Amino acid sequence: MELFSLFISAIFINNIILNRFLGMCPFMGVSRKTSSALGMGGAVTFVIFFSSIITFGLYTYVLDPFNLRYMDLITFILIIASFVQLVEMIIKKFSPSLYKSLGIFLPLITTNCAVLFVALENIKQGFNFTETVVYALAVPIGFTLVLIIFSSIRERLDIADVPQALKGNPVAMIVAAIMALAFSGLAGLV
Amino acid sequence: MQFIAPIIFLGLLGGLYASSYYLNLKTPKPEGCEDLDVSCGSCSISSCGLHPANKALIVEEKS
Repeated sequence: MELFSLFISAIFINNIILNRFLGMCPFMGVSRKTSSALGMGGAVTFVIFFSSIITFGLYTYVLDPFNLRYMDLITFILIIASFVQLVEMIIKKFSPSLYKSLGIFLPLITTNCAVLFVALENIKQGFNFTETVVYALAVPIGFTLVLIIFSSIRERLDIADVPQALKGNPVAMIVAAIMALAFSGLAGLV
Repeated sequence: MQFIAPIIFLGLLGGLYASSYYLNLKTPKPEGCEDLDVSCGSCSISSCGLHPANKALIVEEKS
């Protein structure tokens, strides 16, 4: 039951974008088309999930026993950066269209603070392996969910009659604020 | 040992990143993506190297 609560709260209540305001760069940048949002969500999910498991293992079996805990930040950054290179290589090889649509945001996953946040939060909260796996899966699902909802709203906004002064990013920010308010209404869910 | 362990560990991590970077660099870009122009107009951070104003400045400096 605790794992289920952790899963639901990471997706809806403590949503990485709308509650913690992390990963705002891809949220605004790759939310113009739903297909790109889906691709970005998939790439971020892959990176967060596997980098969290690896960083958890490294912290538990290397950094902690050898008293190298102070090196956690640099270790996690390098692991995430290596993983992004791997994902970029895979996408280059197998999905050229996705590579084209993600553009600069693909290497920028390295600097996506959401990825580093999950790796650090697993350690800070003292999660065991199962909790780490659940959390590392729930956070990017929440990220992808919000990205897809937001991109479909932005697609509709492109054909809507928006006042000239609000066209583009201003109206997108207003939509994001309303979404954050709506998600905060789920606070009592778990 | 107290000083050598972190250096070795950091060296291993650096090596891992360098090798993944090299492999990625060696992977050919898909057809049509060789000169993928970065047209980022998503935010207003003027210090970013991808900002149109800075991009023009970098090209100017190179030439």
